[in-house]
Amino acid sequence: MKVHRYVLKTLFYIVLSFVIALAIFPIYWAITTSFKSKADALASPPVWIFKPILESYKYITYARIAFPRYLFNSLIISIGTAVIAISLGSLSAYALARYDFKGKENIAFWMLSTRMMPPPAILIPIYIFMRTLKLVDTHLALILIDTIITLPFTVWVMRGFFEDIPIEIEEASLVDGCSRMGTFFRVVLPLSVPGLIVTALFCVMFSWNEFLFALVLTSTRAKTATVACTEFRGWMETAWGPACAAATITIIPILIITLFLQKHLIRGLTFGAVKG
Amino acid sequence: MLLALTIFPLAFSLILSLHKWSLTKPGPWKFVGLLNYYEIIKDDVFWRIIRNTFVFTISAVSLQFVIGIGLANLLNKELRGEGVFRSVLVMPMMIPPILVGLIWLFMYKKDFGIINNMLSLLRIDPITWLSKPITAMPAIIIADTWQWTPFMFLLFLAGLKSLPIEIYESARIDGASSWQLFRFLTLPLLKPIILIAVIIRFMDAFRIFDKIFQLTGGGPGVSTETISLYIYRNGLRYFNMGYSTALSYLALIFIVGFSTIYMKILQSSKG
Repeated sequence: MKVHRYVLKTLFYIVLSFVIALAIFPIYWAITTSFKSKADALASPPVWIFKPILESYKYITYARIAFPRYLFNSLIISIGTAVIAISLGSLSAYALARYDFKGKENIAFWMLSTRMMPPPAILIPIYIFMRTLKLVDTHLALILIDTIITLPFTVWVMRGFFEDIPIEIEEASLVDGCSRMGTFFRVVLPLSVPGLIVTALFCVMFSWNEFLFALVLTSTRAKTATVACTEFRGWMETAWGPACAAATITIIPILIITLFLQKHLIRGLTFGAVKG
Repeated sequence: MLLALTIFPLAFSLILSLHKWSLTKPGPWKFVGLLNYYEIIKDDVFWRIIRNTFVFTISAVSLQFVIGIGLANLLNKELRGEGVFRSVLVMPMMIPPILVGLIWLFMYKKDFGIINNMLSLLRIDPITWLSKPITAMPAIIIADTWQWTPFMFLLFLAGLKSLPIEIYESARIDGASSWQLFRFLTLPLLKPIILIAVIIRFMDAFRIFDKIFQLTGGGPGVSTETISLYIYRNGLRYFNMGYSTALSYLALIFIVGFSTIYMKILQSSKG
């Protein structure tokens, strides 16, 4: 019996390590490739032990491509998106969480339904729209579209966070003579700062990872990091080292955000439907 | 404003879908009624693309579901360093899908790709993963499964942890086997979470763009082209705006179907 259990436990840890290895290997492989020389990156059989060099990073920073500029574009767009989505979203979320009005649930579900919309369905009208307004290839165009896409999410998740605040606190504030708006800004918002940060980080992440609209709506000035990452394909061959370097730089901020979001991942990913 | 922002594009594209209009040839819109829709439905390519989309969506989501629920059951234990292994496991799904495509493209390369190198250790000849119709779709499904299995896993693990342990103990005393426990206790109890997870994944998989765009671009031929890529190609490569928006509308019908189901479930789970 004891041996049996020992075998099971070993088996369990083997499976666990295997799964972890599978999950992390592609990321590890991309990161290590970014530090390899061109010959090592394309070596077959692959090189496991090598002297790390920064050739690829030089290539994407000043030698060939101005990748930092695209990172900066991504940063502006994702922060802009998060700020607008949070300011508009938290007010409507609070209304949905605390006020009773006719058709409230319908509004809430209608907002949710916009998230289900396949991006290609609005891609073409949005493209024509932005072209008419001469907004193609500006940061504003992407901030607008990313806000439209993340706003329903913001409203839903923030609503959940607001509902988690005990209503007695707000009642106390109202009794003490604070107005509704005053209560919202002085009591509710400070209490939901963690929720606000979590939601904002999700918006940043969405906007940072977004590719399709960035591809269609930008060409040079506002090109984002994700779009730039796909442009290492040459006529004959892809510059794999630099491509991996660009991917690594783009992924690292996301991995850092993920660590912060650890506890709220489930809630965010299911639109607040599951509170994990 | 939100209303305007979401309704406007939809109304606009509905009108546009009834016209012939090409961005490259300047000129007024030509009203053609339902001709665009008729042309789409008549076109064999469209039906192949619908089939591709469903093949991809159904196989990817079921694979992710099976692996996800299996792993969740296996790893539902008190573990040292659980936080660490969870943060490692969720990494794939946070990465931009387009970069998942890029990384897997690198790994799938015929000559120097790590996957063929690993296979050669097992004495399997190099496979040209992405340039043969038979292997291209599975290759995309594998990359998608790598990215999204953690999502299923994470949700199911959270679900499992919330189940009351007493039921399991009493069932075990009554002599239930592990499989019976899983089949008759875990599955029914997890049903709400399973539904949410599967539908969210289904909707997202249905509109996949980034990964296929990067890995195969829809090729070889149209063997891996899905509805999103088809809309993109028609609208923004060939600039057949009317045709492309009509396509979007057909895709929208499917999505609205799924989302209605999803919202019914969500509403009922909210009580």
